[in-house]
This record gives sequence, structure tokens and C-alpha cells, in this order.
Amino acid sequence: MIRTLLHKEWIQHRAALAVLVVLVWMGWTLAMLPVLARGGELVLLDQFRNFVLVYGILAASWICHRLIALEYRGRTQLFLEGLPVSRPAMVVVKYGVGMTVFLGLLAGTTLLTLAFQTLRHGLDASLSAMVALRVGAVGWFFFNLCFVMAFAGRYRFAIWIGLLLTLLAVHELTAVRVNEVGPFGLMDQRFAFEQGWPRLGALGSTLVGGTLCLVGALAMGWMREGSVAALLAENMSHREKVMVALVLGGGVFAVSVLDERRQKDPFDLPDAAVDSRPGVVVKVPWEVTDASRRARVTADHLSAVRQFLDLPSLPPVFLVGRTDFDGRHFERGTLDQAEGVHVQANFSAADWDEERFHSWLIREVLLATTRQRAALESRRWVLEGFSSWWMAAGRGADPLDTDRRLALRACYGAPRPLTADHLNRWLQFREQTGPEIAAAVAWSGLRALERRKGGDALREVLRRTLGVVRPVDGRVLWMDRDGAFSAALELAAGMERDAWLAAWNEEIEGVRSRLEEPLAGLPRIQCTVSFEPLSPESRMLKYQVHWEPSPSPRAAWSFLHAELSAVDTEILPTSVQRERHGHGGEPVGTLPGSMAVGLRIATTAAIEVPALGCEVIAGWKRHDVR
Amino acid sequence: MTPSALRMLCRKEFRSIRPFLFLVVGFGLLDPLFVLLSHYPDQADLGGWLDREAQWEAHLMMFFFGIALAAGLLVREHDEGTLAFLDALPLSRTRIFVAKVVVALSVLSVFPVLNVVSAAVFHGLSRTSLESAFPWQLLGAGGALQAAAGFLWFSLGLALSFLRRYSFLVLALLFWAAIALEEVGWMPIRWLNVFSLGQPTFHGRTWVVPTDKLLVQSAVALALLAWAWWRFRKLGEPGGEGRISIGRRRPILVVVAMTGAAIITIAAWLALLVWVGNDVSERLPGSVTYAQWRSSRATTERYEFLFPEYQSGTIAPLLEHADGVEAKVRGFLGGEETERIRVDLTRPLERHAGLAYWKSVRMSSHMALGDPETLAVLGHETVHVRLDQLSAGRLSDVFGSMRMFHEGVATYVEHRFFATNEPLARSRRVAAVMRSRDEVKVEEMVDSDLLRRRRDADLVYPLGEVFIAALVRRHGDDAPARMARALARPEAPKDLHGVGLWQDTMQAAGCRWPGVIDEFFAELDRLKVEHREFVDSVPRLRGVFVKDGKRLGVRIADPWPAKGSVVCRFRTDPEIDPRFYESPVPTGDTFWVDRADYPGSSIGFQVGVRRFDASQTIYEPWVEVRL
Repeated sequence: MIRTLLHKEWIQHRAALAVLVVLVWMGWTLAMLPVLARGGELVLLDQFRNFVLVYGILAASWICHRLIALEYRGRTQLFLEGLPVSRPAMVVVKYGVGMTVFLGLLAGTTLLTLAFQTLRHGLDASLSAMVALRVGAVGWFFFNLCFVMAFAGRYRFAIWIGLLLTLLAVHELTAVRVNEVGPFGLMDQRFAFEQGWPRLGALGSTLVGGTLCLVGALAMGWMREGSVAALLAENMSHREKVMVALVLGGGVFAVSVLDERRQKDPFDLPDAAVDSRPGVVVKVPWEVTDASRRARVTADHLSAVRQFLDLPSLPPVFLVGRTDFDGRHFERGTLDQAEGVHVQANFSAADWDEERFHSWLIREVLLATTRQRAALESRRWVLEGFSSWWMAAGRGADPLDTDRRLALRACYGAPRPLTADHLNRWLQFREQTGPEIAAAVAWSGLRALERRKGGDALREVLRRTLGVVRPVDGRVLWMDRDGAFSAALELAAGMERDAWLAAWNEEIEGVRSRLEEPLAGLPRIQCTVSFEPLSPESRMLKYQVHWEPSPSPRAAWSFLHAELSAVDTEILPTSVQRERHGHGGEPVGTLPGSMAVGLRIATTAAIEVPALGCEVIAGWKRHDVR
Repeated sequence: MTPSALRMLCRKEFRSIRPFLFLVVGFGLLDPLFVLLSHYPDQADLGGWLDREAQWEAHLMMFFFGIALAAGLLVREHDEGTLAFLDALPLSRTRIFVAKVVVALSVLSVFPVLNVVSAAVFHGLSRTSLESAFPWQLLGAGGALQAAAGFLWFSLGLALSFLRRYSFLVLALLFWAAIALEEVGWMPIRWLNVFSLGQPTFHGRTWVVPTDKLLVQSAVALALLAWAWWRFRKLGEPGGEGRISIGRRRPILVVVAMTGAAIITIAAWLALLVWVGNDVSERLPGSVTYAQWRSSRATTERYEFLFPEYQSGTIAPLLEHADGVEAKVRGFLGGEETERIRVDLTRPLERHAGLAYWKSVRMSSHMALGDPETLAVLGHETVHVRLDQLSAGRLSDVFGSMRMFHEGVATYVEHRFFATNEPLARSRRVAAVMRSRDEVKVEEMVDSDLLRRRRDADLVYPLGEVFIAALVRRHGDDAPARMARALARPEAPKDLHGVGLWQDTMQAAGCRWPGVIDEFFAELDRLKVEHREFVDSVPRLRGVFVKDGKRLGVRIADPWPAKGSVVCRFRTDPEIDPRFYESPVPTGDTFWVDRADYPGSSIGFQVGVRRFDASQTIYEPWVEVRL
């Protein structure tokens, strides 16, 4: 009777299996074609690994589909059950037929590949044996997996996808490295080169996994006299398909959200001076000059800021040295899957400015604490004003020009009059005046409020604006529906925005009248660019700079440019390129290289103004190269 | 035909594919829901949506939806016997076909609409004052290309649907054929790559739509649609179904046709194999062919060499010194003796002197075996092998992020132990030029793909060497080995990449990333001064893009340098592998390529200077030009 069963399988599936054999060999040819034809940098056995992983799984899946899924879906197994043959024998015969064909295909392709390998590189018995062992074990596993899947009938594709997604989720969300276990561990990049035994863990888990699949398949075949498999094999309705697709899509979605919301691990910097306070940790590597003092001073600032804004904690801060930086440039790195503010600066630079650094650092720490919420345009000016104000805090009712340099910058940059529109369009304003000047203008606004309403009111306004950490999701649309600063101003200081703006303008005008003379000596700078055609598609950029009044003879000027993306966003300091010029020559220049028509570029000119302690710029202009 | 009958038909069609509409809407809402659950929606501007990966995902969805919707749209009426009811209506088959296609395309278009609308809403919430105009063109072009891709896949799916369950097999064969054709260098196949529509190309504020490619693909799609219409008209007619499609019953004619097709396919396949294997294309009249030499084998204590028999007379010096090479590498990187390293010298390599794979090395058969440079290459590749072993293969898993480490250590060891000073100076001159141009960026050094897209992937050699020299100076000779071992530690965090991976690895190895970076840039600055004369002698070249009928070219606007030669290379896409770059020989002062080989909406070019006193060509950054 077994022979009859075998004959039946042969009659039923011979055409399909013949097609499969042809397709697998075509696949082998296709996979090996580049190596056999050209050699080049590809490795024969490495290509074979890819072949096994792709075509092997597809072939096993198809064989099992033909032998099991179609049989049950067509209910033809009922005829077999009418024969004097046990159900286990029926399943075992099918398994035997399928496994024979599958292993035959694998053996054939493996032998031919090894033959090519031997022809080309000579016989390496141990490598060949290990390749055969790995292919055999992996083939056995995948065939058994496909066999049990075939009993899942109409849900098998969904289970396949679910299995794949689960493996991905395990790999992404847990410490398990899926690519190093089971069949994946056996078919890793060592496959083509490893002459020794594969990792026992990988081999063992492959064999155990394969056995479990086989047991599962047999159980499915025998369970309730095979009726479970028969029920599962029925065709899926259109709605059922949609439901399954949505469930799978939902699974992917859930994994993505979980991955996104996963708690980040803390970053660490060993061998460093550490200063810890409640809610504040600062680490500075010992190789940085005066590391302990630097950690302590920074922690002092940050701890005071935390208390002032009533924040529960700040992310850990790591300060490391970069001696190729000048004293005016600082850099915050991106920590991959870790929490913290990692900063690089040249602490021993000749032009190091401690105050400027701490002002910048406070801003970055607050951005990290609020998960970039403080970068919103509506509260950005508050953030920048606060970081400047903090470094010169404690002035109380003193006039603004007590801090002469900040006052000069504020008067230089503040428009006449300063309106709510300037605050609403703060990024644009900042791009026209430069970051230091804009920060000083913002500082003057906070100082005006402090002078009118006192330090406590200012603190409450700042706490409500910058000291709030929102959950990272759509609820912020509701929570932040009232403009943060305006609402805080009314609630905490009892002041309408217009009244405060009027007070602010009044303060600035007062300072302007007192600093009229130095203000008159500050240069205003203009920059014009032109795109000279080199061909219909290429352009050359020429620039010309003009300033009035002329700065000191030793002042250097620079042309700054940055390539822009399709969407208008802030020009980041790291994207800016500089052409530096001495003051002696003509204020004109040409950029090296050519530009393609259609490119977007932002340009400006900058000049150092010692009286302000910073650069002033001509205002960034965004161009479409035409 | 009455309008009400057509309306009824459309309503019936809509009811029939309503579950599919739920599916499309469900998947279309996942993205906005994701933003609402895990991001600040008012800080989610269009940048994320324009990202290559996001567009690829959307186009992948269009592929699935297009094919799945088309699969049963027409043939199910026949297979389920409902076609007779439709035929009883006062409607022609053509009108039924049109109604089905229109309703299906309407449902398909829901996905791009949702995709674009959600992106527009989030961008609207996130706009800042820096934006002068709402980016309608970007949204429109992106959405239109998604919809177009949906139409193209739908047309293909509809044409294949008559093959019933074999349709997916044929689809897979079409994919594989396309891959094979691209692999053998048949470039026109790129015109038919629908997935390439999902690769955004921007010029200024404009998303450049690849109009030519879209026209070609639309023409093919319309032809497929016409074919599907013709087949649908014949569906159910006596003989109409059996002639071409494969239904449930298989007449003998179909079996014969299938067998014939299979035999022809196999024959064509074998012919292709033989053709490519023999490289017929190079067998021009009068050309000479030589028999292939057999491989020979020689073993030393630490290596097993495979080499062409004709080199048996020259391999002796290599065999004599090889174990010394391994001993030096092991002395530097430490570790136990392991089994022999297999070195394959039997084949020429296209772009490299050597390559390492786990415990194997391949070196080009064109190398002069007695030359000291061969020992240097062997040392270089042996370092790769040992690093892979020390890291238990993990270095290969994170190759993109750690390529600079891999190549840096290998180049450092090569120069320190096996080369004269001159090759080191040649390498360091390249590093000095890049630094003087301010083109050494940390984010590119730890991202091999980014470096390749912006500048030149091979910069990892000179820059990596300087970096490893800085690492060794700071943390000692064993620092590279410690780092490789640190990667292998079981508790190493997964999925780290870029700077994060470097920091974690160096930290675990007792080294300090910032300190080494600091040292690295300081050393580059020193090299800049040391090689000032060379740096000044390498001109900045200005490539001017020009068109001439069916050719595209780059003219060098500046006088050609007195020293060295000018080169220019082209690419179709920033993502493609460098082996597909085209490097033409100049005609006069211009480098020309054929327009037909660049089907996309843009072309990239990069000019550079090749000097004998530098280890590699020094390139300007890539320039992308709209076509």
C-alpha cells in the first residue's frame, strides 16, 4: 500500500516537481552566473550560501505546499483516508517524498558547486565537508519548518510573515542576536571559508528546531484525525485576507512604536572627573586640562538652572576636548540609543570664552531635556534669551547697559520697533541678524520684563515656558494650544503681551540713546552674489561684500555659504562653509568648483566686530541657482 | 447602455473590493498614527517624508496593493461564474472592464492621497517662518509618483492575472530576469525599473519627476492594460480562455505550449550561461584567446597559496617571506595561532589588489609575486582576516560603520611593517589635501555609504591610516586589537552604528573616542603643513556640465594641471555601487557619456586629479545635475 501511495504522489506531482527541478537549477545558474562568468570579487561558495537561503526556502515551501496544503485544500486526503492505510503512514510518505526531492536538489546543487570550487581551487576536504554539513542541517530545518507550515493551511503565509516579524522584533527589542542563532548562525558569512566545526549552539539549535517542527507537523497531521488540518486548509475569504493583513500590519506598527518609545540606555564616559548633584551629572575626561574644576563649574551652572526652572533632572553632560577647534566653536554629538549631552570643544584655545560656552551649553541641555520642544519657533527666542540672561543674571532692576556688550548687541540687532511678528518669526529674524545678536535681543526682552515685574515673575514665566517636559506624542497639540510664552506672561506676570512689547521697545530706545556713539561706529555689512554661466547647466558663484563704516584695518571678513535641502529649515552651523579673506584685498571673491542649475544655496558675509565680541553678518539669503 | 446600469456596475465593483479599501485605508493611516504616538506632530516637517527610505516603503506598499488588487479583479468573475450575470446586463465587456479598472484605480489612489494629506498636515503644523512657500510641488510630485507606481504595478498585475496561480511565478521570473540583465550590464533595463520612481531627486525646491522614464513605463503599462482588456473580452468565449491563459483545466495544447516554453527557456538559459562564460562579446575577429592555466598549491606554516601554474617560478620569494608577514601581523594584533589562511592568487581582481573574507584572502593574479608590494598587500589582507577573527565576525556585521577601522588598521600595518616611507607619504598627501579642503567629516568617516555618496569611498584608506596612527599613539599598539575584541563581547549593544558604535567600542576597549578624534585632526593639520607644497599643487577643478545631442559631458573649465591627469566619473544615482560608475576617456577637454545610459532625472559627476605621487585619485565632491 505504501508503494501505491508513493505511486500516487508521483503521478500527482511529477509535473510540478519537474518544473521545480528546472526552476531550482535555473536559479542556481542565475545565482552562480556572475561568479562562474566573471569571477571578479565574488566568491563561489558565498554566492551558493545566498542561493541556499533564497531558493532552498522557496523550493521547500513549494514542495510542502504541493504535498500537504493542496491535498487538504482539495479535500483529496479524504480519498486516501478511505484506503487501508494509516493516517501516520500517509503523512510519513508525503514527508519522505518531499524530503527526498528537496535533499536531492540540495545535494545536486551542493555537489556541483563543490565540483566547481575544486576545479578552481583544488579539493579542500574539510571545507567541503563543513559546507555539506551546514547545507544539510539548514535544509533539514527549513524543510521541516515548511512542512509544519503547510498544515497551517490558509494561515501559513500569515504565519510566515508573523514569524519573520517576530524574529525582527526579537532582534530589535531584545539582546538576542537572531543572526547568530540556529540556521542563520550556520549560514553566516563564515559559511564559505570556515573549515572547522560550526558553532555547536547554532548547529544544535538548528537540529532541535528542525525536530520540533517535524513533531509539530506530525501532530497536526494526526490531531483529531486530521480534521484540524483539513479545516485550516479551506480557502480564505476576501475579508479574512484583509483582516489578516491588517493584523500583521498592526503587529509591525506596534513593534515600531515600541522600538521608538524604548527607554534609552545612559551613556557613560569612564576615567573622567565626575561631579554629581541631585538631577545633574557632569563628566569630563581627565585628559582635559583642569577636568575637576571644569566638571564642578559646569555642574554648578546646570544645577542652578535645574533648580531655577524647577526641572526634576537634566540629562548627563559629557565634556570632551577637541584641540583642532577654535575657542568659538562647540559641537554637540548625537548619542545613538543613549541619553545624554555629549559636547566637544577646545577648552584650552587661546580665544576660549567660558561665558559663551556655558551659555551655549545651557541651551543644548535644555533642548535635550525638553526633547527639542524648546526648539519650537514660538519659544525659541525665550530659550536663547534665557541662556544669555542666565550668564549675566542677578542684575535685577539695573539698567540694561550694565552689561554693555550684550546691550550693544541688542541695540545693534533690534528692529525699530520690535513687534510680536519678530518673535513669531524668530528663526527668520535670527537668520538675518546672526545667532549672537539675536540672542542678545532676546536677552533684552527678558531683562525688560525683569525690570518691570521683578525676578520672581520672570522666573515663573521662564519656568512655565522652558521648564515643562511634554510627553512625546500628539497630546502636545492640546497641551500647548495656547502660545506658551504669552499664556505664561499673563498668568505669572499679569502682563499683556502688547504691554510688555511696549516696555521692551522703551528699554531698548533708552539704551540706544545712551550708547549712541559706540553704536554709530559698528559696521553694517552687505553681500551680493551672482551666478556666472559656465554652460547652460553649470554656474560659477561670484560674491562682493560692502560694509559701512569700515571696521578696523586688521579685521578679517568671510564669505559663508551652505547648501540647502528641498525643505526650508534652519542653516545648521555644521553645514556652513567659509571662505576667509584678509581685510587688505578687494572685497570680492569666487567660489571654487561649479554649481548645477537648480541647486539651492544660502549665502552671507560676516565680519568680526571686537566691540560686540562676535561676528556680524549680512543676513542669510537663500538662492535658487539659475 | 444606460447610465444607471454603469452606476450599478460601479457600485457592485466598489462593494466587491470594499475590504481592500479598508486594507488600503488601514495601512495608509499607520504612518500618521505612528507620528501621533511617538513624535511631536508639530515638529514633524516634510523632511522625514521626503526621506528615501520613507518613499521606498510607500512604493513597496503600492507594489503590494497594485499586484494584489489586480490578481482577482477580472478573472474571478470567470472563475466564480459571475461573468454570465454581468454579460446579461446591457453593458459591453469593454465598459465592464473600464468600470472595474476605474474603481480599482480609485481605491488604489487612496493610499497616496492619505500619505500626502497626512504629510501635508504634519508639515503644516511644523512650518516655521523660514519657509517662503508651502512645498506643494514636493507633495504633489511625491504623491503622483506613488500613484503612478500603483498604476504601473496594477497594469502588470492585471496582465499577469490571466495566468492565475502562475502569475506570481512569472512575476518572480520577471524580477530575476531584470536583475540578471542589469548584472550582465544591459543598461536599458533601468528604464523599466518601477521601483526607481520611489528614489526622490531634488533640485532646489523641486522634486524632479523622471518624465522620460515615466513615459516609457506608462507606454508599457498601457500596452499591458490593452492586453488585459483583450483577454477579458475573450474570457469565457469558446477557445478564448484556453488559448493562452492557464485555468483550472489544462487542454493538451496548453501542456504542449508549456513544455515547449520550458524547453526554450532552459535552452536560452544555458546559451546565456555559455555566452557569458566564454565572454563572446570580446571575441572580435582577429582576437587571440588563451587556454586557462590550472591552479597549483603551496603551503607554508601559516598560509596555503593557490596560484596559476605559470607563476610557479616566481612564487618562491612570497613563500619565503609569507610566514614573516603573518608573524608581524600577529605580533601587532596579538592572539593565538589559528589554522592556515588560504590565499587565492588564481584570478584577476577588477578594482582591488586584494580582498579578505573571513579566513581567506584573494589577491589579484596580476601581481608580481616577487615584488615587495605583494608582501604589503598580503600583510594588509592578513590584518583583515585577523580583525575578523578577533571580532568573531562582528566587524563584518557593522562594516558600513567600521570600514574606516578595518581599512585603517590594515593600511596602518601595511605601511608600518611592510612598506617604504614613500608609499606612506603618498597616502598621507591625500589626507592632507582633504583636510586642507575641509572635507574630512566625522559623520562621513563612520558611514561608508555617506562617504561614497558625497565624496569617495576609498578615502577610508588614507584617512583610516591617519586615524589608526592617532589611536595607536594615544592608547598603544594593542588598541586596535582591543577594539576588535570589544566588538565581540557578548554584552555589546546591538544595532549601534556610526559614532555611537565607535564610542561604545572604544569605551569598552579602554580607549577614548574624543581624544583620538582630537589627535586625528591635529595630525591632519600637521600633515597639511608638512605637505603644503603638494597640497598647493593640486588644483581645485571646476567641471562644467554640457549636453550635446545624445551625449552628456563634463568640460573642465580650468587649465589642466601641469602635473598628473584629470579624470571624471559619472553615476546614475548616488546609491549605486561604485563598480557601476562610468569613467570615460576625455575627448579634448570634455568627458562624454551616452544619454541612453542615464535614464533617471539626474546625473552625478565627479572630477578629480590623478597623481603619481599620491596613493589615489583626489576627487572633488560629487555634483548632481538635473537632466
